Amino acid sequence: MGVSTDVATVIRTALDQSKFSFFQRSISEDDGVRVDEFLVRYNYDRRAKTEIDYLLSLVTYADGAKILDIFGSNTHFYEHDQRNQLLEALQQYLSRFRNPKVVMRALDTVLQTRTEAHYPVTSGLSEEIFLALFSDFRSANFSFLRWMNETDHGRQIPADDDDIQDPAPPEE
Amino acid sequence: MDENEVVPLSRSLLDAWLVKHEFRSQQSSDNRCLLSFSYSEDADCELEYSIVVHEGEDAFLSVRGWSDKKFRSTDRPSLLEVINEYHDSYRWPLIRIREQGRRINMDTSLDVDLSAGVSFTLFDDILSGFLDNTYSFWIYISKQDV
Repeated sequence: MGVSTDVATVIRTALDQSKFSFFQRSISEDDGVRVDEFLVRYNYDRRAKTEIDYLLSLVTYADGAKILDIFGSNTHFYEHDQRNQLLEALQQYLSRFRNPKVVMRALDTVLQTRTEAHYPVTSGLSEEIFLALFSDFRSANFSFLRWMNETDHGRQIPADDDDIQDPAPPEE
Repeated sequence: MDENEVVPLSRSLLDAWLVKHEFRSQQSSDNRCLLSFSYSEDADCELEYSIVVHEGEDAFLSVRGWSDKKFRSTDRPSLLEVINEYHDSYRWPLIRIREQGRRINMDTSLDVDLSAGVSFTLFDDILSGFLDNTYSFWIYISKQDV
């Protein structure tokens, strides 16, 4: 069993064969960077109490280097005056669990969290390795969301339709 | 060895990686591979790493990096801001803080599920990248006002 350096095809095939519903688009930038994005959308998840999106972003640089970025977004929001409390909560999570990387981001009116994982895939990937990495990320993402729901880290703001930051519509 | 062939994660991959990079490691009693790097002016610290290869059905690679640099516990809020900013701006590494008395230690970590196997090239990219990016993080921290 080997790896393929056509990582975009590996990801697409693996998602297809595993029956994931996803959108795909490709963006070529002026500096020679190409981004292949796969957006895997989930509906509201009762256990995590949020909608969840996964964005798989394969970045290919002009020198051939490839990075697979996986992002998890959710629809939990927090007040700006809870910034310190939220940063503390994220750090406490990281101190207890091994993954994923969690980041607090400030939007105009609210704070939000995002989960991330990144892999250098210049040498290629197999479908099996990709699926194991993606499965591990989804599992860790659920751990994070459940932990945030179950611990006293500050009050979430009920999701408002106007606050939800949808990614740009992918081009099929 | 075909470096692009996917093989089960094993200690032999780590041994081959140590040979390739000419690292001299120590072995702890609980089977961790320990790497030490002497003082760097750029990073303003010494660095150590603990690498563990968990073999078997749930195989994963687990790495921890830490330095001899300590921070005041009163700087915790500033450190949390710096860490979040770094996490938001750079892909690697994952950074955690640990408070011990009135001192704070920071460590970097990497845990990758390799239950589906790994090629040596990918293993090398992941592990070498972690060391390089951890070093970059400590250079960054040395320039921060914390």
